Amino acid sequence: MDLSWSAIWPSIVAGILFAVGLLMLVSRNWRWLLGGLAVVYAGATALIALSWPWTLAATVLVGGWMAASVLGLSQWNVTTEDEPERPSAWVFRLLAGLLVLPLVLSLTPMMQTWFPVDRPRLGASLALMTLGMWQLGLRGQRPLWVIGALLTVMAGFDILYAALEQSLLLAGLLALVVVALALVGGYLVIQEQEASSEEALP
Amino acid sequence: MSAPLIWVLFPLGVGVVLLLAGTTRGAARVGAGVAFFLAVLAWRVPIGQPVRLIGEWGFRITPTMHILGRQLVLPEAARPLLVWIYLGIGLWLAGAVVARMEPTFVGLGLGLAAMLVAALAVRPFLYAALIIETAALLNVPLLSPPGSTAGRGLLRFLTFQTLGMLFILLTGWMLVGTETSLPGSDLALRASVLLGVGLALLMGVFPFHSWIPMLTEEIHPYASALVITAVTSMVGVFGLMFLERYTWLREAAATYQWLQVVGAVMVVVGGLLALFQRHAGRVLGYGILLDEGLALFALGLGGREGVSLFFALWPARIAAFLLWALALSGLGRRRDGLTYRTLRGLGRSYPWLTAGAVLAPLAIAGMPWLAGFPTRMALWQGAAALSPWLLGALALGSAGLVGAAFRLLGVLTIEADEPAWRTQEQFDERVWMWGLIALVAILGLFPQIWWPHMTSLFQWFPHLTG
Repeated sequence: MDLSWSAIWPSIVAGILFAVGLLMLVSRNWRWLLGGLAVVYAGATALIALSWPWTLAATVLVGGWMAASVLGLSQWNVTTEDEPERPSAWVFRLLAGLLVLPLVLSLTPMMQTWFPVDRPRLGASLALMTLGMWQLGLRGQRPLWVIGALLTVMAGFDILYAALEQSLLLAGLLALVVVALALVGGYLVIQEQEASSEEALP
Repeated sequence: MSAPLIWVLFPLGVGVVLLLAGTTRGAARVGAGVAFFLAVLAWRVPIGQPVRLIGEWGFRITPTMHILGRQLVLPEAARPLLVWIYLGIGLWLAGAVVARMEPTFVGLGLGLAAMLVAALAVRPFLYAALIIETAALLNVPLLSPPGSTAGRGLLRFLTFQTLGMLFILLTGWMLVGTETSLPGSDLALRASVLLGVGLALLMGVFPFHSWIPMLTEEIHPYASALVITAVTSMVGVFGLMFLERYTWLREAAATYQWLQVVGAVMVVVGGLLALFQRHAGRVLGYGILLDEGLALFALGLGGREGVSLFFALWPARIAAFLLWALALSGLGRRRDGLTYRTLRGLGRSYPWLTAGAVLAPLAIAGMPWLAGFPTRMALWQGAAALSPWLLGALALGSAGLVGAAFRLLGVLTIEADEPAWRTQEQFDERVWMWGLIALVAILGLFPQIWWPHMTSLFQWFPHLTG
């Protein structure tokens, strides 16, 4: 077994991505969500750089960080706090997120017959996409969380797709879609805030 | 001068400029005018052939345009499609004034049409998934204008469009170099499943259909009906391109069997669920679902007949859904909502809007002498030749939608104190209702006017219809 740094760092990055994705799923704080997104896109860029030149992989980083920034700006004026939730709610999300680990570990070998991608990248991709889908299922009612979940899924997809397809234009267009998703998310979040502040008026 | 420049970039540019418009009326005049001009241009001017103007002077519209290393191609065979796309969008934009839409609706609507034409024109055609996703994202302000709040339907729409795009991109990678043959049945199965799920997510095919009635319930019916019918129609053509390109997919009997079954299920689900709704907007959503099911069923018939019927559904779709959405816009504005409870008895004061809201679903259901009848008749004949179960499913779905239409009629006209009948619609609303009801009737009574034009669209798919 090759235990050199160059061989094991993708697995370490994949592990970090899973942990951050899990944290994003469990937390209810938007700062954790957006901070997590920034880390996820940095990790995704590192894995994508295994297949693409760094200059091209950087489009994913730039797109992801711009998306996190746009969503962060939309949260700037948030004054309303979410109602406190029972501990059982986050415990449920934690357990649901942890279920992703055995799922990914068992699915990765089979998926490798479909997609010629090494195990760390395929595992990281599947983990992010599954955690994003969980997020969509569990929190599909608030724009910020839906867009955050879609961006998580997109990051996972980018890791997989970069290993399969090396088109410069596709990379650019996918980064554009990420930023457009964030812009739409920001628009919808601001609308939601305006509506809730109007309701709060006497 | 190239065709994509005329039918994609020009309307896109006009759409962007129209976002600055101050009034809906002014924007609608320009937007609808441009759309009708493009429709007439597509009708009269050939692509790829010299056109003589005066003496030796003339011009030629080339079918191809290069952009960022890729191509946009609108061949001569695409002209009938362009006519109907821009005729439909022109009517829809002109009606924006009567529906009392925001001024930005016109610019966004024209931009949507241009983006969807670009999706059909782009080569390699897998980029269409990205363009459709971008169009969906750009239309969020249309579906959720400033001052409103995004509901779950819009979020689900965005989710399904994004996930659908990812599936299509993966399928595209999987199918590189497999146009004529596919080595191994495993790959064929995987690619077919990924493609099927991707298209189902984009089109809102059962069981991924929940966003359609949710959108038409939460969002202004005029905006939601335009976006859903435009996006799902174009995704349908995008699906046709897969059939046209990949021989193994086109020649597999299972492809057509699946299309028939899924189409019939959607017709049943759309028709029956429409019957049990208590919100007129949701009924509209299920009506769209039923129409989509018929489109899939038409494709399932295969060959030239299937493709011809797929496109022959378009005129009724444009006229009937425009009538339906416009009528519901008028009724909803009077009572600030479209639940049956709020609409009760309203038809006695707004009989023309009521007529529109009832006749449109009847046309979609395939009632004789209305716009949808000629195509439904052909589809029912096709279903009868295949299986009585399929015919029964189509009939059941249509019966459900007819029931929903009469239920809405009852809600709108029956009231305990039975007030007198009056016509309180504004003049422009009345004129539009008369015009669209006449159009729905003419399309049903004289199909020979439009049938050859629509069915000629099969020429764009020579392999599929050869």
